[in-house]
Amino acid sequence: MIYLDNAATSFPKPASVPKAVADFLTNVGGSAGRSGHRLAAEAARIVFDTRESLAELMGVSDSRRILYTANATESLNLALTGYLKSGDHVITTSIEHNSVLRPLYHLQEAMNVHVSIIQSDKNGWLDPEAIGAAIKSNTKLVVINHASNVTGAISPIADIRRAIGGVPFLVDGAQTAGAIPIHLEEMGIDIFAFPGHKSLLGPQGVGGLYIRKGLSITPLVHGGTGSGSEGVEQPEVLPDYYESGTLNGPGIAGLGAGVHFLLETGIDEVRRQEMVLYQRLYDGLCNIEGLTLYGLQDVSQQMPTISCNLSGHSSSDLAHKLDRQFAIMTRPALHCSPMTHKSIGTFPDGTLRFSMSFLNTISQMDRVVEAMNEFSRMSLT
Amino acid sequence: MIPHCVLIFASIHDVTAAERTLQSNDLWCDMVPTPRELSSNCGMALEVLHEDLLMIQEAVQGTAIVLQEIHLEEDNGYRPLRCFDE
Repeated sequence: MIYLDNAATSFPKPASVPKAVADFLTNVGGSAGRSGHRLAAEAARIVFDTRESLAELMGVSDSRRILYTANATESLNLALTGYLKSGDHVITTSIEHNSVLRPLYHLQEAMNVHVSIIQSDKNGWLDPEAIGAAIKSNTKLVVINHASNVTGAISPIADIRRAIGGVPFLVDGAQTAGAIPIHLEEMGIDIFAFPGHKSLLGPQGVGGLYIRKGLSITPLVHGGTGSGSEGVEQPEVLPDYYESGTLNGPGIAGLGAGVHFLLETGIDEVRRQEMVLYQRLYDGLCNIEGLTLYGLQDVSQQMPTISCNLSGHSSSDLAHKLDRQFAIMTRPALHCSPMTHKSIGTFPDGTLRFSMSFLNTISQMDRVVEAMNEFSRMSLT
Repeated sequence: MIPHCVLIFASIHDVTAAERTLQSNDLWCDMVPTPRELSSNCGMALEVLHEDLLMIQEAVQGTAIVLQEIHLEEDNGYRPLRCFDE
């Protein structure tokens, strides 16, 4: 079995991750911050330790500024709906995922938020100057995909930060958190959304949002926090202000194990291994007749994600055959990013996407190339 | 009886942060339900030794931990003490 759908969710996880989830469900089980017994206290420690680990991994000095959510989509909805008001102008791009574009579309239609979408070039590359030039007097936020889930291209975040001046900057880290070095305070990123279940190696059902000090965002959910219980007002202390309801304890335990694994392995080593795999697969695919590759050619600006099409085959048909005939798991079609596909010229059919993790192997990349060569030969005969 | 104090914090995050900080400084502490006689936003508190208060102050100051109140446990209840930043 060759799993190459890590851009959707990572698999397998390091052994410590399911172990941590099972340990929480078997031996801990309490709800952090809710009761006074030892199991609730142990749950609180796990929640705290994972938050501290995330802060260490992402260069955040106060871990209470990292909030737990269910996933990156919820994080982005919290940030966008909680920050933007009627009449605000927001700048985003044509390479965003629907987890950004759909809430912005909703805010545009329901709340008179003005949205400017800056087009990428046909490779999915963004021009920072074009983004800066779109700033108006009422621009309240710039929202950028740190890396495309279709092409794998890494956005020029530092150049965009410079180009937009003091306008608050929300970065969608769905594809990058846990995969490339990120130092949020140093990079001047004001808001950062991330999932726990992709490169951070945690289970599905947990994500996070970093909000820098000084930014006011209205919570998405109001309710019980285990604090300020004498009253009905939402407590304003962090992180409780944004974390109503029972936290996903087992998910956070698993996420903590994943982040711990990354801290021990080192993000630079993870990156190095993933790009070796990327280069191997890329070099093999680019020699296949009838195969078109999308994205940037500069490997230093790429995540370990490759989108392609093979003439004579739909991406969906190829993905199905790869799964059934070769046990190679990929994702076809539009990847919840229709605008990205319009930008790179692959709409409406989409692309076949291979997305690696450092747990894949060189021999697996070679097997993928063999399979794709076989499909190419079928097309030519 | 060895005098104990109860430390009141703004949230369970601060309680847990303080517990970790004190433990890393080899200072005894116990996470306990906030006594009913004391009002707090957070349902949990930290019990510490009164004699360790100065070292606790040194350990906690300079961190992001928000310590709100310190109460000395006495036979007939709790007496508030001056908090570190007051």
